[in-house]
Amino acid sequence: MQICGTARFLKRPMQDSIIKGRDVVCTGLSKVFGGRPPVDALCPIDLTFRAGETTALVGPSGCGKSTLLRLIAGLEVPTEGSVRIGGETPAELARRGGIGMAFQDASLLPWRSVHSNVSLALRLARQSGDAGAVDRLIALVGLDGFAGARPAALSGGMRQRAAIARCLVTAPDLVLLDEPFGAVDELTRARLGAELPPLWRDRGTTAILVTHSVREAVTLSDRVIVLSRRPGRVVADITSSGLGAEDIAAGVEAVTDALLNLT
Amino acid sequence: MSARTLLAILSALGALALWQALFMLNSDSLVIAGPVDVARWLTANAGLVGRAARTTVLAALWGFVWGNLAAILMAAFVVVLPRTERFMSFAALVIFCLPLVATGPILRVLFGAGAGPQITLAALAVYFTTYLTLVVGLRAVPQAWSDLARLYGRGPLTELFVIRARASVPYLLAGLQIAAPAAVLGAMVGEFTGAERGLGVLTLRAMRSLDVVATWGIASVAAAVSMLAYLAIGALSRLRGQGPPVLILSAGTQAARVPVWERAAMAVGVTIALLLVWQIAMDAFALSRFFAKRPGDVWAYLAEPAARRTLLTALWETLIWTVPGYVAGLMLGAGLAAVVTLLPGARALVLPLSVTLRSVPIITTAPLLVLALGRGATGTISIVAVMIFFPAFVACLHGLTQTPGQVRDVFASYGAGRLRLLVSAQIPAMLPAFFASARMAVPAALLAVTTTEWLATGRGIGTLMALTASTSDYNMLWSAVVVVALVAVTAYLLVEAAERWVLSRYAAEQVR
Amino acid sequence: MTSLIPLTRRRLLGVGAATIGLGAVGLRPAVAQNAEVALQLSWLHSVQFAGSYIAQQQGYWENEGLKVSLNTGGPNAPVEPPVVAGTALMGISAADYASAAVAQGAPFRIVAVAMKRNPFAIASLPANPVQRPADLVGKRIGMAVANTPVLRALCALNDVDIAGIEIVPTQYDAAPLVNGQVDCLLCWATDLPVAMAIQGIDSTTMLMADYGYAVHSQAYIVTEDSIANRRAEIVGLLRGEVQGWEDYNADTAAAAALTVAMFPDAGLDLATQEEQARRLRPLMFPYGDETRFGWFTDDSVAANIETLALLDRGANADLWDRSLLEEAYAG
Repeated sequence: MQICGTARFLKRPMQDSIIKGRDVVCTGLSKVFGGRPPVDALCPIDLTFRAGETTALVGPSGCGKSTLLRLIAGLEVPTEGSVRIGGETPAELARRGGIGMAFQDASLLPWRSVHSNVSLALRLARQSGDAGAVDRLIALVGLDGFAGARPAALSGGMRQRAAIARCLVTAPDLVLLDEPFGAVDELTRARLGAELPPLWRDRGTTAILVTHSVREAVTLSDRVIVLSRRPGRVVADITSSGLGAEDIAAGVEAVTDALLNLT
Repeated sequence: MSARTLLAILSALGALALWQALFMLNSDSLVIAGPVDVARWLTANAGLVGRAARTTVLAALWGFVWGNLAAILMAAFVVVLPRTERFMSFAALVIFCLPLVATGPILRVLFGAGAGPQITLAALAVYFTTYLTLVVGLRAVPQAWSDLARLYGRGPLTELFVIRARASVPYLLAGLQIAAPAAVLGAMVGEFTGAERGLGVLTLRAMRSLDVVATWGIASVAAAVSMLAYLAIGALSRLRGQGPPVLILSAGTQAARVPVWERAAMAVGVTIALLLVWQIAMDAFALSRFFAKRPGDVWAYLAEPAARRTLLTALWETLIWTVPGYVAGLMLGAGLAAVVTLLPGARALVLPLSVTLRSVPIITTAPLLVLALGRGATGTISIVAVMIFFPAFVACLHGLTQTPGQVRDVFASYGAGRLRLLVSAQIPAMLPAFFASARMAVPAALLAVTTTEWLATGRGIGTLMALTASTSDYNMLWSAVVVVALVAVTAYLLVEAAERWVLSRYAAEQVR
Repeated sequence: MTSLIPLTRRRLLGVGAATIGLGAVGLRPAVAQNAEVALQLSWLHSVQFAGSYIAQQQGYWENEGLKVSLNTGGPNAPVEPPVVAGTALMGISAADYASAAVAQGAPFRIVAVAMKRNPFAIASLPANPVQRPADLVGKRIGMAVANTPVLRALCALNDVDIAGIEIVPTQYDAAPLVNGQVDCLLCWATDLPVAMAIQGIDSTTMLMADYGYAVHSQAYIVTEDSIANRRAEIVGLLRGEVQGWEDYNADTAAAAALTVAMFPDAGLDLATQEEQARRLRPLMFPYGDETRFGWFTDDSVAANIETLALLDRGANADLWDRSLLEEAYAG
């Protein structure tokens, strides 16, 4: 197998023994937002996100990617269907801090320092966590020396690093990433894309990534799922695991084709 | 010294000069006293005024604490249990609209001698605005923040304590800032229910003994105290590095999505609940039916056509001048905000002046304005307008400065002038804030007009209620209370409906 | 009849805890357990209630075994509710207010009358005076509209056509008269004219009581229930009042000085209080057999009922009950 560039780093084959993530099974999942008129956000979807894999969700704006992510996180109640994560409901898993989530705009609380933002997740998840865990994670995302800083004093990229640290501090079984690198410039985005995903991939955590960047989807994930226009349904399911450089190009082309065919 | 400070000082000096000039023009009228005489009187009576101010400020402070605490609890309750909001807001509005003339004597009977009524009336004067502001503040949290708590399976309480509480601090401070002068006024009016000392007592004494200098002196002290509190809270919010938030109180809430029949059922439910609270509260305190009438008494009383006629005549007398005053006050506030936006230099000049005007307690301004402008339409309309223009002004000013930078740039790139920008971009951006203040101004206008009628003009429903003191016609008093509350709620709903109608055309994103 | 110690201003001002016993010499023995009662005043503290302050300071009530609190009134502090509610044993009201309250179902009795002559007056400036009711014709009178019945009663009593008087609604304030917006004011003889006098403005006052307007003012009211169950306390309260007011009658200037000294925070001006005390005295202690404080005759009750009828207030002699005052004097 020919592996090169960032892909080599990212697509290190996983050993079954370290997989701690869980399967995420969506059955007949749909969401209609009540209002005038009601909005069909998601067609009934049957989809399984495999344990330990990183799956990317791509699709046109407003296709329901984020809604799907929020349904899996338990932040929205499905109109029909269900989500099971390793057999548990999202709510059950969430109570143990089993789900970590990062948002596009970092969503750090501006009145808390980096350290306090990260440790907040532990507190919310009712986990004690050892005293060094927060510091270690902050160091791991490359924010040594900024633990005491307020978010306003950080760059956009640094804020995303802090958000990823908060997302991982509870050692979740499932990581949900909603455009985590969407608000930073191209260069920073590439660096974050190279440095951060190993943090969850190495632990064998199941991850679902929503992104607008086809290239990011193909390089960072094992599998790319293309959703249609609203109401979202699955139109393509492309394996992107263990791809070489030219395969990545082919993968990008395949995903792009699927997206273009939507119109 | 910064230009800002310099302008503020100039503005203060300007106000003093204006005051002195007004005095010299009307020196023989026994209405106005000049700043020089007032200063002399204050120096001569420093001990007396100091002790009175201490008494009043202490009562105001306790009322401020209790009232805002109640507001915070109510707002927190509503945010945790959103379905209770409609009920809570209406109950809050109705209680806020209870005329002081009616509540004062009952509080005195309940508390006996002491500062109880003063503190309660100060608390009642502050809780409503803080409640409204804080509900918005607790809600105005980015979704990603509130998701955070739910992501870890935590409920609305955790969300409230960990995230919303801290995020709403700027709004709370804005609410407290509005509340500070109101607390002082509430404490002073509370002294009318029988107090040994305080600024309200001195005001009464000075007005009765034709002591214009003393009247103005006490009014100045009360205004100064209110302004200091206002400025101190303002400084506190700047210290935190957060400017005051925009009080964009979005229209309604979920009400829009609720079908009409359910809203009607809600209104009936709220009414029944309030009537029950009324009946039960009075029974619980075993208040005598002689003065503490129950809903049934009022119902029976209003069945008499003669009573209804008297009441409606008085109400009509009140409303024909309240409505123009209300509209004039809102327009004055919005207009002044527009002027200040067109001439940015005017801001530092106008803001302190309007804070001053707002801080002088109505119990001294009302009689003086009525003396100066007459008991007719002009006097009453002016008092209502003066009482409500300030919140509208501040809210509109915030709203006007909210126009996004890019929108300004687009206008600038087409060479559009300030006026064009104001009309096409800033005024639409201001509308939500304008309507928010318009809703808050409803009870304020009613308070202003009934107080003025009571203390100065001797007409309308305010006087009808005050007459109870000599006639013991407490049925009439309570009927008037019910009518005033009904008017307040109706007006509030009308403004809310107007708000929806306008915002759905100009600021659709505000109507959720 | 109680023997009263002559009162001097010096003694009144010098009253402290030590001198309270002094006032008690020769009077009834102090009761060990003081019953707490409240007297609801009808307005802010002023010399208008000086007799009560004297009773307080001289220990007259303590001698009766009473610990009396004097509850201040104010513009938003009606007297009747606390008396009905029982927070005050006795209140200072007036015949017209009390009869209205009785009509509304309050079981009141007037047990003593401080101002036997009603203080309502017409105040005018000497250049354009109102000296008798007939002078009102063609004049602009400043008053609260609510007081129209008072003016109507005065006109009826003196055959004056009220249509010939222009009523200008004003606040309770002398400014409109001084500024020339009106020719005369309907007010108390003891407040606005005093305020004008202190400001150096001469005025003419026509006391309405001199022209047949008979309404007992500053009348002591209690509930029927209290008369039945707390009679001794009411009598004791009245006895203290009588003693205090007799002292007042002896030296109004001392009473004014005591008032100002007792309430340093009330913003009272000594000169004003002295002048007010002087003008209050003839209203409380007119000549004839009504000179005793608080006393009212059957004739005056009859006159009151007549005037009250003109005010559209029905009242009958049952409203008045002199027996407690008689007991107080007999004690």
